[in-house]
Amino acid sequence: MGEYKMNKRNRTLSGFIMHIMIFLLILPLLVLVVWSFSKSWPWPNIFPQEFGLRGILHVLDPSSRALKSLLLSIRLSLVVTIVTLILSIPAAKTLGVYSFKGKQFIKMLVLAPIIVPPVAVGMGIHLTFIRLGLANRFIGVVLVHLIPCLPYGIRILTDVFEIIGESMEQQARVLGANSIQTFTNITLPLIAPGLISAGSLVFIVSFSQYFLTFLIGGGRIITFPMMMFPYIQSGDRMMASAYSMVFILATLVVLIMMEKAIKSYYSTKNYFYL
Amino acid sequence: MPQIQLKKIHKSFQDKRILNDMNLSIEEGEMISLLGPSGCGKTTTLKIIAGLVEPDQGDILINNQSVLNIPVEKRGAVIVFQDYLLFPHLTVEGNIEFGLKMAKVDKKIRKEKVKEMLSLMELDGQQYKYPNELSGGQRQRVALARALAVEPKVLLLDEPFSNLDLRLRETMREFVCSVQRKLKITTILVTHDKDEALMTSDKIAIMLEGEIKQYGTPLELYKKPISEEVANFFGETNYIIGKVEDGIFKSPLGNFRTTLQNTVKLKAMIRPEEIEVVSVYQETNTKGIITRSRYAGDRMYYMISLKGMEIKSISIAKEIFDVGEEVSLRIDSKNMVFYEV
Repeated sequence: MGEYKMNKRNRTLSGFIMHIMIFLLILPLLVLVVWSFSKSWPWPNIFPQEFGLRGILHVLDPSSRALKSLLLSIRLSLVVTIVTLILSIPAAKTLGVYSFKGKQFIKMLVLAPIIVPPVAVGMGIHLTFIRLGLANRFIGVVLVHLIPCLPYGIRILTDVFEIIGESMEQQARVLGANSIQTFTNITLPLIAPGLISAGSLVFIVSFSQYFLTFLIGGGRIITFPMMMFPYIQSGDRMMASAYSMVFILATLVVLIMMEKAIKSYYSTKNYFYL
Repeated sequence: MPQIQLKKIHKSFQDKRILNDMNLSIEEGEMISLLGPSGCGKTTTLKIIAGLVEPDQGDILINNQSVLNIPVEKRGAVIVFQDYLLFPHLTVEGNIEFGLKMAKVDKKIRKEKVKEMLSLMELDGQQYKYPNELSGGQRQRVALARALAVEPKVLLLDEPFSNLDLRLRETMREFVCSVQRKLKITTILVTHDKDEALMTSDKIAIMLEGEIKQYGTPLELYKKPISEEVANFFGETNYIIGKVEDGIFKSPLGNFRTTLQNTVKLKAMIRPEEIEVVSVYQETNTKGIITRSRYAGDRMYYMISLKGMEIKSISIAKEIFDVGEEVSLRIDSKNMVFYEV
């Protein structure tokens, strides 16, 4: 009897903590929504004094370039995601499946862009890109976005390859599949769940890049965060909040679509890696 | 003419020698076992035959042609791995037809083959299930069906029964043997279980430390092991040291007629079940005292002390003797195997 009561109390307690956590996550977002519709909201008022649609209208107005830069941003980040995944798969397989000298060192090295801030190397890259004719161009920005994105892609897929190993591919080979058939019929479907998580993370990392885009894009490649930044800096909270909201929604929509696409293509069920 | 031949295969992994001068030849339609403790290079041998691992030295012949330069997918040697490795994203049907699909076989023929395999493996009605919906025995049969569907020249089974529980293991063993006999497909079975090897195979190759120590029929291996190593691996043994004089092997266990030449010192191996424990009143010239006995239902395990030696015996539990009792031993010298000391 006592045990049952204890259990019930524990459950109410954990439920309570859960609700608090969700509330703490939702509340800032709610504030964002309210801010994007409020004309003036001076301290110490709990509710805004005046509401307005200026922020939302500006973001949705075709002449304001906000939508255009949003589309550019999505396009850029999708390209970066695809390139990152294509580069990550072979690297991750090597690190996850094979053993060779200096593997641990290379694993560490892969994480270097996360440890060393891109700002530190940004200037040098900029100079090189100018010399190579890559600065101020879409392809240059894609390349520079790969720096912060690759560590995530390689790291996540390495773990995936460590779990699935090489044996499934070997089985496919002895059954008569050549290496390309093995890759498309066995490897890709097996790592599909990993591709979804790596792809989502990489997309978000690329989508929120500001400094590197600014530096290499040279003001020619104007992504959504670059449109957003001046409003945040200048303290126009209504505009900044409206941008942020669109930012969050756009990311969410793209991620959901990406997951749906990969899952339906590989008809991935919720199986565990064997 | 042997169908598969391994000639002087050497293989090392990072300075660790796995296979050392390995030779093996298998006739068409035979089922042979590679028997040895784990880590003796059995699985590596299978992978070398299939082409997943390249040997450092030596040659592999299938139907008298070297296959060293033939890639894995064209070799026609299919491994069924220990953990079955069914493709989790494909149904039973998708798994079985995988090899044929990769070979771009017509869909109609594929469906027919799948049907044939399903009925051969007693898997009718399971074709739309996914591997995680199957039981262990079913998974194994799907793995086998998938391998057989491509009609391989040789079937390689890597510890196929070790993941099954005891009862299922025996059923599956019988099942695999009957399928093998029906299809007459050349099969190599890797196992560390000597009973499994004895019961399933036409021939057994004993592998120890990357070498084949003896290759022969189960009867030969059990009754006439060529070395102490092999004898010890195949079960309990008694060793008696004696000498041969004028066609008689003289030992503490008594004198036995033999055709061997005179030697000063010789070691005889005799299996415990060849030593029968009988009542002391029976006429034999070897008598000892029982120091330990263990009752196992149909059999009795005895330890008998005799002239300072400990002799093991496994007898039928018809007459049971107690510890401390004096008994006679009846030994048939025909079943002794002699080794030089």
